[in-house]
Amino acid sequence: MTAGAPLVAVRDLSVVFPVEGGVVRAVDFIGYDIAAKRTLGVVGESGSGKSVAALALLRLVAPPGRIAAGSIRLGDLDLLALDEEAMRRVRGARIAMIFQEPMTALNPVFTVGEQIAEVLRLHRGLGERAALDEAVGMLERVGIPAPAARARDYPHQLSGGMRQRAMIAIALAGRPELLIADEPTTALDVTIQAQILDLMLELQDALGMAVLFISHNLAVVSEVADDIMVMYAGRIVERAPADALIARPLHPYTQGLIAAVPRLAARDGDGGALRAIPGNVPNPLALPPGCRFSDRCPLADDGCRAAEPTLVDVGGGRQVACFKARP
Amino acid sequence: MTAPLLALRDVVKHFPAGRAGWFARPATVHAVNGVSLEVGRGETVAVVGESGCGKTTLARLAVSLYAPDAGRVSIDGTDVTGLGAHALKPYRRRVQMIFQDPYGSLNPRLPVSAILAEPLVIHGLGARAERRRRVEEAAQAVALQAGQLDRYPHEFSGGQRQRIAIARALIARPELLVADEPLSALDVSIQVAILDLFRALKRDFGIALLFISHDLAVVDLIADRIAVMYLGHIVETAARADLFRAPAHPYTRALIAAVPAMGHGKRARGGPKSALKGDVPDPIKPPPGCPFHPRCPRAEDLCRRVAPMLDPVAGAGAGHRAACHFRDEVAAMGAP
Amino acid sequence: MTRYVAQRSIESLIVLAVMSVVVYGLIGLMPGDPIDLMINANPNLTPADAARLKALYGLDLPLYERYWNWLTAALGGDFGYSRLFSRPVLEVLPAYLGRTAILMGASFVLSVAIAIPTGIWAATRPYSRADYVINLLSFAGISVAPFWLALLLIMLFAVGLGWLPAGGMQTVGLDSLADKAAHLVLPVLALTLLSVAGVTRYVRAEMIGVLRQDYVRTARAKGVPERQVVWRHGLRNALIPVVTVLALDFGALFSGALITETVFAYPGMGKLIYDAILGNDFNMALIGLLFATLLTLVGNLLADLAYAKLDPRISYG
Repeated sequence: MTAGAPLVAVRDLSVVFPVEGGVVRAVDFIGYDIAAKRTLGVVGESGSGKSVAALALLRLVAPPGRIAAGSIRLGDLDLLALDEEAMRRVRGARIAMIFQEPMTALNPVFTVGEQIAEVLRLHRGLGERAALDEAVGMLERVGIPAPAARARDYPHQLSGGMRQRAMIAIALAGRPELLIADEPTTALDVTIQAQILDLMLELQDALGMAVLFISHNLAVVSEVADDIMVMYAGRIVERAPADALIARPLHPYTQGLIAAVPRLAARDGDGGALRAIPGNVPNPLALPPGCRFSDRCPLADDGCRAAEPTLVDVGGGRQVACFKARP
Repeated sequence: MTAPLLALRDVVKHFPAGRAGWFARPATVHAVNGVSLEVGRGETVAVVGESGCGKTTLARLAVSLYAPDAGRVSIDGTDVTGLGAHALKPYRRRVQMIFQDPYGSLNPRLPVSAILAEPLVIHGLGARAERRRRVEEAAQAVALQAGQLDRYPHEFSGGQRQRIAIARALIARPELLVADEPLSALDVSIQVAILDLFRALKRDFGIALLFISHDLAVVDLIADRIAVMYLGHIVETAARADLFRAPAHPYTRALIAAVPAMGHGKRARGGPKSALKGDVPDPIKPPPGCPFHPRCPRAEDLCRRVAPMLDPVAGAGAGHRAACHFRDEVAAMGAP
Repeated sequence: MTRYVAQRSIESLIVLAVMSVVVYGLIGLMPGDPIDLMINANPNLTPADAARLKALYGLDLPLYERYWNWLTAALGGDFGYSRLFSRPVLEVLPAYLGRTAILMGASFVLSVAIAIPTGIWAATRPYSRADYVINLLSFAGISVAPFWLALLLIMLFAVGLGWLPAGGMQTVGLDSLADKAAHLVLPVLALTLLSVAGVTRYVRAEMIGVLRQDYVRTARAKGVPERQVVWRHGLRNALIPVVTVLALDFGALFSGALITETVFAYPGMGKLIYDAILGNDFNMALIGLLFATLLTLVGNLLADLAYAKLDPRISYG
């Protein structure tokens, strides 16, 4: 993995949601590290648990969901043992999060400048006037033209790309060590997405943050991540440095995902025919026996259906959870 | 030479914006501004663009859900612009639409069999037994099982619902399908399956397809010809291979460069692929001259004053046209 | 914005004018008139006398002529003479208006002051035992019949315990503030109990919806203390529809207390209009009803303006 202690260490994390008919294990005993100053991409489709895992880091899982087991350490701080007040001081200041839909994630009745200033007042102790001035500065930092005027605008007056930049400004105002980005560009047009990705890379470099970048779009993740973690039905199925994962995926689900991404033939080469992954993501209340991917996997055999594979190190900073993977 | 199946000529569609009232200030959304487009028999034409470019409005003009403010719409040589509902009916059977939202486009109160049979009933195609047979046939064509026909839409996944929508569009045996962002609401692994379905339909039934999308990578897999839209104008149109090999409009180049690339490592920041500046434009206040000039890396004074025409690119493939004063130079730059 | 207010004001005046025609017509179509009442009360009145009196008061003229006479007089500021009080309408009205204003104003302020914190409290612990109790009480408040509640209060506090007066505005002969206040307690209590229930349910529902929104999650992710999340980020949004509903209620302010005022014999606008209609006091009834119309229109306009002020996404013009 990386030298030195990780910034965030997650071990045996489980997040459950009681529903009619049982308990959904949205995140089922996962463990991973986030290294300081590096970007970890998390890829998964619906039901993979990727968003829930991120919310768990901030202890923001919406009730009746709850963290059922595990530990989350930020440096040498045990996040799950903190009281609410101490956790509040972590949120926004040491770990910050941006969300998918900037229109609904911003409060419609406060100006953009005010929403940034709030973080500055809460976590950096600035007074009202100073916070608003600094907020304008932050808007400029995230590439919004005419920042003083935009700071007095309400969210609905800004375009989608501007709103997402404003969200990034809010997240960065507290100078966090870790930025969690949950599908930050999914709702944006592709040329705006490119701008936002450029911005995030630039800011990460300048501010030395770690980034947890969550998306269902493997191509987008591969453009920003140093390492990529693939999740399926609440488990981590593979983790590797980004280039290695794309060039030589080891888990059949990862292979399936890569084969299912449409790409520009003229630019990126054909890479083999486009293939869908047969079947559907499993119902969390009726998971297949053994490996959760076994009912859709071309390599599955009786051994796969009998027991669940665990995530094992296979060298080169790579981990796979598959009996059939050959490194 | 036979008439194209669908021909839009210089269609214009504007919508009123802002509050109505006695003293209202008029504002107009210039959704579609003089677009001409043709779809030949069995051909797949893709219209690509981002938010506000007018592609959805264009799709609705193509199926006569809207009547254009100016310009003409013709189907198989016959001018159908502004025809009343009754006169339009036979043409409706020949041109069908598939919408973006598989959750909103199916009536939740009808079982799938009724949803599929509805077009047959409306157009008076066949008695009950024949309808039942065709419903089963359509379901099979989209890989839905006959046993599922009595279920309701909410019992199906997004991908399955989109299949139902496609089956419904196909059942009256149309000659042209207009698909408005049919994959956007679906999971990645499902998108491929639906895309395959479209390709199979092309192959097996020779259906023409007008495919609206924001995703160039998807369009690369299915289109014969591509039209790029920006702020209600078509800024470039070309055969698929030509468009990607030598795009002749700066917006097309930017659009291609912006498609996330897998396997090329992390983005090079500020490099030659660096992103287009500025925001997606506001169709209420379109800029003068070339609609793209505020964001264009090569814009000059001419571009601010004179709107370029959609004219052929020198030395390019047949039918390759771009609306840029510098189209030949841009094309010469090759693939982005 | 001024354009909008101008447009709405013109529209309101038109509605008011139309309403004046409608109400005048309806009243005029009622069987009987003040003179008929006098005939019933006084057997000595001969038909000739009756006819003379009717001619004197213009009651034998056709309806549209009477309306026109009324309208021209009203536009000049003369609202006519109240039969019931034997004084000009304009002299009688203000006192009644004032008393209803006190009654309704007090109960309005009280209900809002109770409903908002209660609704928020219930919304932050939905489906808990406390929430169920609040819901139960709210349902009770909405379902209970106003006159029954009023009578119950009278029985309990006035008759049973003897703590408070059973009705009226003041004790005869006394002119003290404390006495008047004591007379207000039960009517205000009755009205408050009735309206606090509805407002509480509304606040609770809106808050539950708001607390589910993405921007509330963002606020928590920013490390905003929970108290501020609820009261600043949440309430500010939930209040938008609540305030508009309250502003609409404002229109009902003056006529809505009819039943309560009658049971408590409290001399307010509701009772005034009621008595005027029963006593065939055309002028008073007409003005009273038109005033209620005017207030409803003003309430509507205030609701829309409040909505635009509170919600930056809404703008007129």
